[in-house]
Amino acid sequence: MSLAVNEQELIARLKAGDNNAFKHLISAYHLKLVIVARAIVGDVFAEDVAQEAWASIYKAIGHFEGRASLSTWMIQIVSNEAKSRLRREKRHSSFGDIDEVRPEVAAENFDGNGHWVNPPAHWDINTPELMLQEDQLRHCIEHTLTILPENQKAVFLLRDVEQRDLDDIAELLSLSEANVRVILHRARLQLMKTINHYQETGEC
Amino acid sequence: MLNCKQFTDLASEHIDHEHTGWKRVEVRLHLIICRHCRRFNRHLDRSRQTGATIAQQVWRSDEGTSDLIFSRIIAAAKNKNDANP
Repeated sequence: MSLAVNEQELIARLKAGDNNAFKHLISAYHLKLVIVARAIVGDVFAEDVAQEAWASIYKAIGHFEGRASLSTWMIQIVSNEAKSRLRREKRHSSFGDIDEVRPEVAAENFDGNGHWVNPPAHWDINTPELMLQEDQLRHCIEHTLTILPENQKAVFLLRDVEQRDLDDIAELLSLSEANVRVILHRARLQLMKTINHYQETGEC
Repeated sequence: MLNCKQFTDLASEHIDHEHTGWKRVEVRLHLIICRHCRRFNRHLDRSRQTGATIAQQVWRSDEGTSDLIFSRIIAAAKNKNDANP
């Protein structure tokens, strides 16, 4: 079930107390809530925070008014739970204050004037549809998504999967917008690097 | 005038339509004259799209995990009710 397509039906089932619908919601969103929690409160407490968020969601779903999408609402809840846990534990965010040095394409790809000396190579598999059909490439991308640093994973999830605005992401993760931009660019560059390597070598 | 290295730093913001005013003009002018940066921009955008599609598919939990989390929610709610009848 796609949340986007069937969201109204899903919400109606959730409000009616349909446990299978709630399990479906957990299946679709638990890992995403953990990713957001981990980015705020760190690895040790993330699962615990996500579990608390689920309890809050279960308790409050009957009063969900639909002013925001279901995913927006759930992500806000886990963000609040994680920030609250962070305050209780009196710990600093694992990545709240990253350096703002811009991510870079390797300097050796450019001459002294900043023009390409090693320009991007042609990709034979050049559309997302074709890339998704290539099993080995899928495997490489899945692996890259797994090993992305937690901050990059969370920002990529919120921006490119959930399509949240950058200022929302900054608020949700307690980051500056400048940091969100840097982190997002790093994640996308890492994915591009993986795909580029596969296009050149046929390997991850 | 923007050079290629500077464009690669700004490419994500261009994809997200974050630029306004003169910066947007500079980026667009650079893309008109530089086919390498047009390719870089295309590759970055397609990497983002492909990565997001795969993330949507793999960042899910299996049925066993969902059942376990749900059973914990129910148990916690029951304990709370028992403690505050």
